[in-house]
Amino acid sequence: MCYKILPFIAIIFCLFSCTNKYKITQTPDDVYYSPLRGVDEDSHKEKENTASSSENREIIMSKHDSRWRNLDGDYNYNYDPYHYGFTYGYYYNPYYYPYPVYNYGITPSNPKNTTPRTTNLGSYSFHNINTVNPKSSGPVKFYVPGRDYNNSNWGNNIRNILTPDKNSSSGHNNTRSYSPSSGSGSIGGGSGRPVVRPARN
Amino acid sequence: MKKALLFLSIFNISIAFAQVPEDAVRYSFYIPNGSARNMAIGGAMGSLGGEITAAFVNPAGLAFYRNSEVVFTPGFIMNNNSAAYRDSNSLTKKNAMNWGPTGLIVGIPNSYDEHKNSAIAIAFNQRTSFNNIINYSGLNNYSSFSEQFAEEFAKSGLSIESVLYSNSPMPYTVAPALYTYLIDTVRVNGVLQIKAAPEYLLDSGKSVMQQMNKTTKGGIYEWAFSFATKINEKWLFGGTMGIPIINYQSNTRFTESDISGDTSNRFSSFTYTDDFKTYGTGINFKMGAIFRPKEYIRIGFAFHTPDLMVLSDTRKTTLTNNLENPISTYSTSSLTFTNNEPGEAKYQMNTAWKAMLSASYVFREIENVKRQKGFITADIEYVKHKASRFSSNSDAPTSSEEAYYKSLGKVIKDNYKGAFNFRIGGELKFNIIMARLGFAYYGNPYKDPAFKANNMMLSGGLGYRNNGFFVDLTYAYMIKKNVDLPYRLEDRANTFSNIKQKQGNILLTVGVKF
Repeated sequence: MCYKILPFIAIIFCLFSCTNKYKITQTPDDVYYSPLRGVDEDSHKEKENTASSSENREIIMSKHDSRWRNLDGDYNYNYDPYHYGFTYGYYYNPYYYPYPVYNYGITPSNPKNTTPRTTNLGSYSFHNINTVNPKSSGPVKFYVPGRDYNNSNWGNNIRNILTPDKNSSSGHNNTRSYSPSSGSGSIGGGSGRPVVRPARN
Repeated sequence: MKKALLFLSIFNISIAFAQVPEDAVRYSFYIPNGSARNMAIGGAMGSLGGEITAAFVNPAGLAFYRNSEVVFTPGFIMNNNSAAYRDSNSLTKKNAMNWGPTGLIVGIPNSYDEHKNSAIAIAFNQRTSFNNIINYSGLNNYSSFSEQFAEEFAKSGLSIESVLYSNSPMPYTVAPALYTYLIDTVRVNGVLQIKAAPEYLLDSGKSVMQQMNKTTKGGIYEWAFSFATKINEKWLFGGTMGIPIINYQSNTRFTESDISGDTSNRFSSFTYTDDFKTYGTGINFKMGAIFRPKEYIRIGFAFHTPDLMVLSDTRKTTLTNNLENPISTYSTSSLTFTNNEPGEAKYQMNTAWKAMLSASYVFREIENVKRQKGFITADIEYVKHKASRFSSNSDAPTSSEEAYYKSLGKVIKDNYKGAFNFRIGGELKFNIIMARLGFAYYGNPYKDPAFKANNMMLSGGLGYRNNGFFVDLTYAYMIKKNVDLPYRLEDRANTFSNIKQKQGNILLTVGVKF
């Protein structure tokens, strides 16, 4: 992306360089002090030229295209949008095309799947751990902003499923149980046509 | 019946599958790009002004302009990354071009009062670049990448048949994993379970070799349309309407393999790829003021609203699973489950807002360029990372969608926090030559104390101004510390990689006054 716009920027920069008013002086530094700009002596001439150039443009264009001649402010009583192209043998006006446009190039496609990128937000939740409140006697549940992490292969890496309250692992449980909703498999399920898994070897 | 359906839909939300929270911090935790002069002074621009970067930091600083200039800033970044993952270290490199502030500033003097003037600016900037490559690998004897699919499916309550559809509710993760038998149901002691194939290896006390390769591209870009005015010699005000553009592309490839040589443990290897793109535009507003109690002192205040973005994600995943005993290979892509074309999800996002306070001391704030000597400047900035939010792009979101994004907002609020950023820098001016130094520190956005993250920048540069032109050259050295979790599990302890990104940044700003 950066490479593509580089020539464009360079051209703009060169154009502005031509209007540099400080070619023989030091460059003002606006961080410290910004001097007033000098008066542009050519500015009045430019304004005059601007008015005349737009008229010239209309004259030049009207030499090649009769529609430009209608911009002179005079009403053209002979202009009829439905007989615009009659000299070619049929009534046709590209600006008043009366018929619907059919596009035969579009083929219908399946609806896009709009499922958002997913993650289990439960995996971001923090723990409630039992700890002793120093200001009271007895354990009080505190909200501790953190989770358990296992970042090393050393030590006691017993694979246990954490209990639902995420307090600790319960004994030696490594079972991720599964109970699909009976008789309501289609609720929240997919649509379209079923996809069959390949046979397992 | 309706109540039952509502309950089931809300249950599915409460297990909460949504846009991922990491997206929020990706778009708020970075060192923003500036012009070469600005980056050389640590990026501090909250009160200094008189520089194009002010349009993106404190637009009041543009009101110092009484003449005009056009500026462009090409840049080049060189990334050297080290990643520590489970007792192993990996190194990667990635170079890329980037684009600093480029645009036009027009000063508008007041014909009747020389103490008043205004300025307008149109500028473009690449706030940050995502161009990078992160690789890490290591043995893991505790958990498997595939368990996130097993956990997601176990909690969904859906049957296998209801997931395997041409328009699946879990087309990128669970559906490919079920199709390739990476996860499957198994009955042990009469209990129906979901088991991922690598778990047989881990349960026997062995390890899997994990390898993550992530290539990211794109950046956050912004158009700024600014207006600033100086109402007297003491007060300057300014505002910017920003059009931010997010273009983020990531290609993730995760491989897990059995390196034990044992061919009887059912699992050999799998490779999962994830091609993901986010694109969208939005709007933001930046407002600021600069107060000059003395001619040489500037105090700046600025507030940036969140970027209000409308984003579109497109995604495609592939999965190839090699099993053993018997040897078999299964392969599929998410296209099978998204009607044979990449899925697309549209949503809205509000990024974090920020506020800043700044001060500058300018030596010799006078017209004679030869007598201007230098300045020092410093910013303190607060970014509320936890304020980022996602919402539906639908005109009439369903109750399940609203619950869906509400859960995500709570997770972002719980996992991230506000952070303070500091920037300081100075310049010495020797007639037409200038020398600069700067430093910046961006605080940790994570609430979890286990995640050590921050961004630091040390920078220096030279400038030359003469004959109506100016050229600034800067080298900024950044050290960005962050964490990357290859996968997240709710029912096991998680594992993550500590990423240290050392980034060299060369910036060249060229400008002409007119």
